[in-house]
Formats: sequence, C-alpha cells, structure tokens
Amino acid sequence: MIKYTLRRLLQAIPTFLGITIFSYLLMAAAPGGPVAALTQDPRMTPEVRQRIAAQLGVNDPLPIQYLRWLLGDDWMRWDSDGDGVADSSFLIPLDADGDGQPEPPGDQIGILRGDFGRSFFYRRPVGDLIGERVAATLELGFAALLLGLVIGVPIGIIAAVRKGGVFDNSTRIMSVCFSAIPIFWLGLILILVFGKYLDLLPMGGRCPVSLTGDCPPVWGRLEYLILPCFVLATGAIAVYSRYMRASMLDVKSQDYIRTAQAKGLTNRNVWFKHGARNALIPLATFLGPAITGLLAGAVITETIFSWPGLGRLGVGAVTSQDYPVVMAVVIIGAVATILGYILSDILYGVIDPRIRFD
Amino acid sequence: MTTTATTGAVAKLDVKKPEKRAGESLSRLALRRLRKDKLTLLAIGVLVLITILALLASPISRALNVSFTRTNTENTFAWPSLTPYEGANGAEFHLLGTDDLGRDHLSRLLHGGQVSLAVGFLAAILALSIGVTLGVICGFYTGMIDDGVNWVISTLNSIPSLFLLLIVAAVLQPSPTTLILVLGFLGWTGTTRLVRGETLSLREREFVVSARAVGASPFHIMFTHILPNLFSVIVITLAIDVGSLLLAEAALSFLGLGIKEPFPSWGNMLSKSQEYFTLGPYLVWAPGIMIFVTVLCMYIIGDGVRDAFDPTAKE
Repeated sequence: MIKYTLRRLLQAIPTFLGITIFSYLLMAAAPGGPVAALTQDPRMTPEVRQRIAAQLGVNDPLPIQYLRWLLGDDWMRWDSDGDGVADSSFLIPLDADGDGQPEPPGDQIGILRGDFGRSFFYRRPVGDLIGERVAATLELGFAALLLGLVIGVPIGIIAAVRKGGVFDNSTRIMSVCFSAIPIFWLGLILILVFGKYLDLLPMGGRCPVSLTGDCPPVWGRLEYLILPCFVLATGAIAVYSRYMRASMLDVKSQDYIRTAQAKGLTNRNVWFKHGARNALIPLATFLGPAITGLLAGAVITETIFSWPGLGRLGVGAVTSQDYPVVMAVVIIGAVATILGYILSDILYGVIDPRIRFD
Repeated sequence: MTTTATTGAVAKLDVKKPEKRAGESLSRLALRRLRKDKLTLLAIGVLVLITILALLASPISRALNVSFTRTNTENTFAWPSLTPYEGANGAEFHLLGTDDLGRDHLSRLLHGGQVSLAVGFLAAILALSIGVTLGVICGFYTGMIDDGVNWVISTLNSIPSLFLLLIVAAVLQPSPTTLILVLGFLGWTGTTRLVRGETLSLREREFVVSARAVGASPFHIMFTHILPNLFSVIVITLAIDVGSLLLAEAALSFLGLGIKEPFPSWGNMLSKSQEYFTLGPYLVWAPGIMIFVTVLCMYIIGDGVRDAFDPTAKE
C-alpha cells in the first residue's frame, strides 16, 4: 500500500512539471509577457524601466525565467559575504543591466517552496491572498460534494431497485436536465426567484456585511450557503445518481443478492445492507473527477454569488491581467486535482479488499 | 416425403420471423431504430427548428422592424409585449422586449444563436478531428507515440477545464474564431481516450490482421478498415461534444472572456443580467432557456444514437 502510494506520487511529478511548463508558456505568450504590467508604468523613465526589468529578469531567456518562477532566484544570484551586495551568480549575470553595479541578490524562493510572488493588482504577496480565500472555497466545495452524495446516492439506489418505474424514469430525466442546464443561469434564476421575488434567501455573499469583516461560524449563516451549494451540487447530483444506478444494477444481478432474498431478509436489508454497501465501492474512484468538476463549477458559482473564494479571485485576476494570481490559482487547482485522483485510487483499495496493488 | 417435410419446416421458419432482414448492416439497423425513437426524433426536430430560426435572424428582425445592434436610449428595458413601439423608425415590434441599451432582445437572441451554435458545432468538429486522428494513431501504433500523447492528456486533464480555458482566454482575448480554436484544441482528450481504446481492440480483429497479411499499408488499414468501424463512436461523441462545448462557450462568454459585445452570444447576453434584476428581470430567461434546450437536445440525440447503434440491444 505504502509502496503503491509512493509510486503514484512519483508518477505525478512529470504531470505536475508538465502543468507548470504548459501554464508558464501560456503566460509567457501573453501580450508583453507576464511582467509587462509592472514595467509599463508611463511615469517611468527608460532607465528606471531598464533597471526594474533587469531586477525582475524580464530580459533573461525563457527557460531561466521559468526556473526563477519555479525554484526562485536566491540561488541564482546571492551575497556570500553578508555585505548586502550580491557577489556570486549562477546561470544569470551578476550585473544584468550593464551599469557596472551588481543587481540586488535574488529574493524569490519559487512556487515549489510556496512563493507565488506578488499580485500586480492587490500589491500583496499572492500567498496571503490565497490563504484568505481558500477556506471559503473549501467550505463551498465540501458542502456541495456532501449534498451531491446525500441526494445523488439514494436516488441512484432507489432508481436501480425500481428499474423502469416512474421514479427511475423521472430521476433519469432530472439527471440529464441537470447536466444540460448552464449552472450560471441556474444560479441567476435561483437568485431571482428566492432572493428577489420570494425574498427568502440572501442574493449573494458569504455572511452579513460587518465592520470587522469577520464571518460567524458556518452554522450561523447557513442561509448564505444554500443557493450556491445547491447550484454547485447539481452536476454532482446528476453524475452520482447515474453512476450509483449503474453500479447498483450491476450488484443487483449478483448471486448473493438472490441468496439474501431467498433466506427471507426484508427488502430494506437486502438493498441497503447487502446491495448498496458493495455498489458504493466504485464511487470512490469518482473523487478525482468530482474535485475537478467542483473547482471548475466554483469559478462560476463564486462569481455569481459573490462568494469570496479562489475561483472568484481567479476570474478577477484574469480580467485584470494579474498573472501571478492566475498562475497560483491554476497551479493550486491542478495540485488539488492530481491529489484527488491519487486519493481516490488509494481509497478504492482501502474500501475494497478485493483490490490488490501489485 | 422427406422433401415435403423439409419445405414445410423452412416455410414454418419463414412464417415465424417475417421481419428478419437478411444481411442488414448495423448503420441501416440503427437508422431503422432511430426512426422509431420518438424522443430522439423530437430532439432532432427542436434542434433543426432552433437552427433555422437562428439562420433566419436577419429576415425575422427586418420583418419586425428591429435590429440587434441599433440602440435606443428612449426605449431601454421595454418589457416583452405585442404592441409596437412607435419611434423614429416607425412601428417596432419588441416581442421579447429590449435590453439596457434599447436593443431588441429577440433579434439579439437569434443572432446570438448563430454565434453560439457555430462556435459549438465548429469547435466540436475540430476537437473530434484531432481526437479521432490521435486516437487512431495511438491505438494503432502504441509504443512511444501512445505514451507521449497519454502524458499530454493526463497533464491537460489535471488542470480543471475551466481554469485552462480561463488562462487561454486571458492570453488570447478571443474573437469567435480564436474561441473555436481554443475550445477545439483543449477539448479533444476524452475523444482520444475513447477512440484509442476502440482502435486497440479493432486492430486485433481478424479483418485487420488479414488486411495486414495481404500487405495493406498502415494508412490504408486505419482509413478503410478501422475508421468506418468508429462511425457510431464518432456520431455519439459529436452530439455530446457540441452540447458540452456550447456550455463551455456560454460560461466563458458569461464571465466576459469569450464572445465580447457588441457581438451577441447566448452566454454574454446573460453576463450583465444580474445587474438588471430590478429593471429587466425578463432578460434572464430567454438566453438560458435557449442554451438549456439546445444542450438537452444534443444530449438526447447522443443517447438515442448510442442506443440505436447498440448491437446487444433487443428490438
């Protein structure tokens, strides 16, 4: 098991590197490159611009810039005698702008060590911005995942038990409708109906506006969570109910179910204790795809409901061309996805003793 | 005596199965099944209707004396009504009302339909071409090419799709054409996996082995022996892809990163509707319903085609 986990983690490294290269290349292809916004202040003199460009390393070859972003530049140009002036360098020139003075020592430590740089827009470290918002996204994501499971799984079980019946057919139609409905539109309609016409639920936000900006614990503001959570969960409900139905139909035709029925167990015992337990196993493999789906959905849901999470931060950053933030959100999303896939494979083995990792 | 008995038996067999069509091909069987599938036929009908209406956007707008670009500050947020608005241009019929700039909502909806449908279909065709080509090549050759493509797929799939679209959209600032290219070039991974799997099993079948034995070139085998057998997979994927790419386009345009004003698309028509909940709440319904109905039709068609092509399905 530990060996398998380690192997999966090792296999994830090339994928992760691929993602960093791919997203860095995309950013580099942006008009003016990823740091153009910083050096294009019209009040700057050309000399100052030149100096800042040299400090930021905008003129370095692309692979060097990528390495600086990934691993930082404190090992590329450093101060070995402690006088505050850089005196040694590796890969990059000590004096990048050619004015006879060495550039200051590198102070970035790179995304691998958790440094995503500074936001152009907020003028603050990206790490802090992410830290403030990650809780909101996790809260919404977990709530939606839970809701998707709590609604989707029983629907799938009952639909399979009563295959071909009214419930089965109507939930199948519901599941197709849920996957065809644009979730941003569903969100808008729900806000219009419940927020405006009926005035039952808040139209957006995570908690009531307060002077301190603090939010009460989640059970004190459930009304804010209901709509975004339901909107985000529609996709999960559709997928889980369909998947659970197929899995349950599979189990239903097996011998031990017939045995259970033959020895006179009640229907509830047969379907829930014998059937559903085994039908739930394949659901574990759905954790990875579910995380990607939820993250993508969170981008839209958070935007509509003004939910202060990572997705909304990402959309705002794309619009304001705040590249360090965009990169950070993409990389964090990708890491969450990779870990989700690995976790679901491991869970699969933990739940089902018939699976062996050889 | 024996001869009559045999003929009797044969005649009996014929009577028993009058509908048995000898040597009916799978695609002919599928067509026959589709013709009986009312839900799929209805979906096809609705889709054709939406497409025709979208294509007739200009004549319809002219007939109602409205335009999808003409703004009118005197007549913003006019509610849907059958009574004409008497303005400088004569009687204008705003059947679905007007938006924040006084542009006709119905006309924008139909013109937006042209954009959304075109982006959905063309992007799906592009994604499908890439996906099928790579899938057949990977499944046929396996080895290094297969490993390389698989690495690309697993890398692309590890980035949540909308995040990927977001960064690409941020960099490219897309027009309709680039949006088609972006959606197409990022949407092929699922098809490749599916087609690769099918090809892997097809290449071991007798007809491929015998084609190879008589010296057919790999290109010939892929084109004339493997590709036709992928027909049903391709049709199903196309239907589902058009639906999901249409949704992706709508989401991007809604976020302001896809089709941009003044071009209408079903997605970007909704992007400001949240601000208009007080003045024009009716503006939020039509574009969303159009997206929903179109995508639903595509999914139903995909499902119907899958059932029609299923060789194990009973009549």
